[in-house]
Amino acid sequence: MIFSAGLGFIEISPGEILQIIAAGFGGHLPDTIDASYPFVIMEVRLPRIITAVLVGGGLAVAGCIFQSLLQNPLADPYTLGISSGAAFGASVAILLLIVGSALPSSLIIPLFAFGGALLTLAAVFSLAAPSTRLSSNSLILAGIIISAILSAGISLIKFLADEQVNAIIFWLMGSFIGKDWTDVLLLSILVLPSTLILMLFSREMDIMTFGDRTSEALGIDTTKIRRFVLIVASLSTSGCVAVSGIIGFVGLIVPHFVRMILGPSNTMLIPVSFLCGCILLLGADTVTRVLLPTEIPIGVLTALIGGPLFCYIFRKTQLQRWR
Amino acid sequence: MRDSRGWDLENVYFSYAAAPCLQEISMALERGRFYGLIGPNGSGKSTLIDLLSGYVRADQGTIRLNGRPLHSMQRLELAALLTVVPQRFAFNFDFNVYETVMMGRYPHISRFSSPTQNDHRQVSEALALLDVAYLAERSIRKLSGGETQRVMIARALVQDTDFILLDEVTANLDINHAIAIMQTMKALVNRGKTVIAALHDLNMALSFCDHILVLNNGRLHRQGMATEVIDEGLVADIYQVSSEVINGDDGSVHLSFKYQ
Repeated sequence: MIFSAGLGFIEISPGEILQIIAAGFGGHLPDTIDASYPFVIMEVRLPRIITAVLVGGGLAVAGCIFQSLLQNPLADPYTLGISSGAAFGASVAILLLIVGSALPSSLIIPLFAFGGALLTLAAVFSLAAPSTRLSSNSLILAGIIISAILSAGISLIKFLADEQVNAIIFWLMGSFIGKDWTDVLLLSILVLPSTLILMLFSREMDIMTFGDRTSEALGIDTTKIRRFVLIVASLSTSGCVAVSGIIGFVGLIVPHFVRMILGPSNTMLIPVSFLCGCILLLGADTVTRVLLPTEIPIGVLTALIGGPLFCYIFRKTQLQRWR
Repeated sequence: MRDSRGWDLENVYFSYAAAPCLQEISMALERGRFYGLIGPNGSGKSTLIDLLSGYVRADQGTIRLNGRPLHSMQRLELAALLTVVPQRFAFNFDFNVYETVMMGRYPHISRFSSPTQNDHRQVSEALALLDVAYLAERSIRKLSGGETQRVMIARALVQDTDFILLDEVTANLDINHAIAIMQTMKALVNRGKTVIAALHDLNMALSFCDHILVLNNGRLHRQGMATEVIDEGLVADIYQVSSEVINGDDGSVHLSFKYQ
């Protein structure tokens, strides 16, 4: 992270960055450091980098949880429609900004996105709840239905936004541009505690992949745990989406990737996926920020880099398996 | 007074989506016996197993285990008393056989500790007992139906409960493994455990079970000693098949079915 913070249009050495951070906590800033550097590091680069790291970790962990609990290796943090809900909320906010609103966009968009995600989650759960035991099929189906409705809503808003439609499309692609300490704070509150809580339920989630009957026979209240764990993972995901827009791929691929190497046990899967998610988005964000002539949306970049890498590893493990 | 340890069912009704599944079931299942639960497809055997395990709750009537109503007990309390091997499982991820069987120790391992020597020993013993030790490192998804079934029985055994419910567990097995599992269960019963096994194979029931429960159309059709309950009349009655009971010289009894 320190190294990444040094890269960019203005190059700053890791030593200088440490001194700047120390100065930020009340230390003395040496005269050798350019007076504009502290602003670049503390207000621009660090919040953005920490945001990228937390979003990466949060999405990867949520991916593990959704895949385990929905008993479906193809699930990702967005399976229950959280992304559509957040996107709808953000689109509404952007539309309000276009027609004129007094509130600052940096506040109103994440707020609406988060609200949209939570409302969607509530809708999906209440739609799936009458089914016995909140089964994964009914949850997935409810997620698809609500997503479809919201997608239509987003299309309508894009249509209404007319020439300002770019703002919505750009948000939908996900980005870490202009992230500040408020975003970092929101993410820290949601992502870090939820990751710790979810780690506590690793064993239950492992067992629950075998089906409800055997899990209950082992003393697990499957309905209660499924509801609790999905809500925790969804809150974390909602925070990530609200702050950074929709960054696909991380939540699907990172857990797969880690599972291929370490096996399916959540005890290792969750913490290692968290770290890998952090590293993946930090790397991707650094690449788009530093190396490329113009910033391309982070979601696009992760898929472009991660996709082929995943194909390569997938192919390799499949070949090994058949030997 | 009768021993209160075991199940006690009083006028139990259960329906699924308004269609009655089980009706008027009253019976006592005593500790230390090997019960065979037989009856045609759809007669309610699996539902009765679900009720006895507390997976579903009776619409009417009460089910007590060791004198306490099942629905008043916490899941973890029940898990200390009884285990279930259901007919079907979901296998979506590549857990290996050893990890899978270790999950059976879940009720005995608290959240913040890891498996002890004793846990590992029990798992190894169960793997050996069910003849699946050589599969320990193999993914659960790469086993045959019979191997999977034996692994899941091993997992139930390491849970180390007094009461064991089996739902058609020998259905997928080769005859040698089916017999081995029934012998294992018999040995557990002789050591004081209680086994209730839903079975298709009437000869298995005759050979191994002390006591037979016959379900037909959701009602308890008959119950009693295996050799007294399973006879030509019963087979004709509930399966509409003619058969003959053959008494072996060694005291064994089995059914021979007539195909015409």
